Amino acid sequence: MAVEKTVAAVVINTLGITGSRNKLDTDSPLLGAIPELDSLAVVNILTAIEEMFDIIIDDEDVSAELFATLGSLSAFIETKL
Amino acid sequence: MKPFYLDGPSGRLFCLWLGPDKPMCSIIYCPPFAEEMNRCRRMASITAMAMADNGIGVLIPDLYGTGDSEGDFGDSSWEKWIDDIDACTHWIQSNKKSAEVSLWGIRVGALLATEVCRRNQQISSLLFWQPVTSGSTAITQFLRIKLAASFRKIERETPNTLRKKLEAEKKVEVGGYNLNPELIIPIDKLKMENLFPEKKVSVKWFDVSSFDEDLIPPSVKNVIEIWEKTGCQITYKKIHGTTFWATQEMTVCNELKNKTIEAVIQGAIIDG
Repeated sequence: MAVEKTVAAVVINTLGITGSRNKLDTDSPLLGAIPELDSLAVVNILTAIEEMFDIIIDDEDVSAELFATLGSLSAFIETKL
Repeated sequence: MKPFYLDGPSGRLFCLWLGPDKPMCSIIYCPPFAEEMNRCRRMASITAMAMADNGIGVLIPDLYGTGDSEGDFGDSSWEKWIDDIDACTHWIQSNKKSAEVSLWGIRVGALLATEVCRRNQQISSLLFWQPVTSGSTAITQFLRIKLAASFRKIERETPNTLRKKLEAEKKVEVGGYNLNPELIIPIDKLKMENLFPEKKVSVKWFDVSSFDEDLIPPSVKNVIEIWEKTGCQITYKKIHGTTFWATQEMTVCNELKNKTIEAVIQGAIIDG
């Protein structure tokens, strides 16, 4: 859960989401659901996550499915720790 | 604030000089790469203005092929950029009579600052903001723009396929930037841990995190240990604030600005 909270905060901070939309839970959809989440933003989130957790994400693992929900992204990060 | 063109080794460089004519010390801004360069402009300029108010001279150049300087981004190379910053140090030494010249590198700009510091004996202090410690990580992060844009396509363009394409075709376009292998390949090979300046250098290293934690990432710790063994004096500080180089909207981190100015003034008094 700690990982998911951190990932949620990285997404919210990177996208600069404010107001009522800045609450994300496991099932919150990301790609296609958040207008700020374009290809540059995907890259920025990956960069922020890599620096935050001091990990390297393999590009073979980067896909639209990874960014389906906060839960899918967080579950993936957990496997890298 | 004085805008001017400096005759750089590859073409005219658009520069901004901020600060008094006889500054107590001077610092040259080494910008980050591509989009990060744009996102950092505001933080860099408000910090430079505050430095100038405190008697520090700041030179902000647009590197060859970027901003308002001559050349196209596709013609820029890592060597040209190193020579540009080197030319900036000579300009300060001959025009501002400032003995003490430091380099201020943000992200990939920190690698650039380090490369210049290794070659130019006049540079004895470095200021880093969230430095990139591995060139290949930074290049991968940049090349992923293309990967993220090809999510829905059958043929995925990953950073590694783009690297191969760049070597074979000598050019690749990513996010509107025409990339030159002479720029990308050298950066791709750089590791901060191998770039220790081989001389006594004072380094003020600031990282920014949006989380309230003081942990030094292992990759950073490794670089600091290696550099310290070779005689460098490193002050590391983690600032709690917005990661302004990565946010979609233009953001600032005032705490970083204030702590940086304190550190630079303190350094000028001790070193100067």
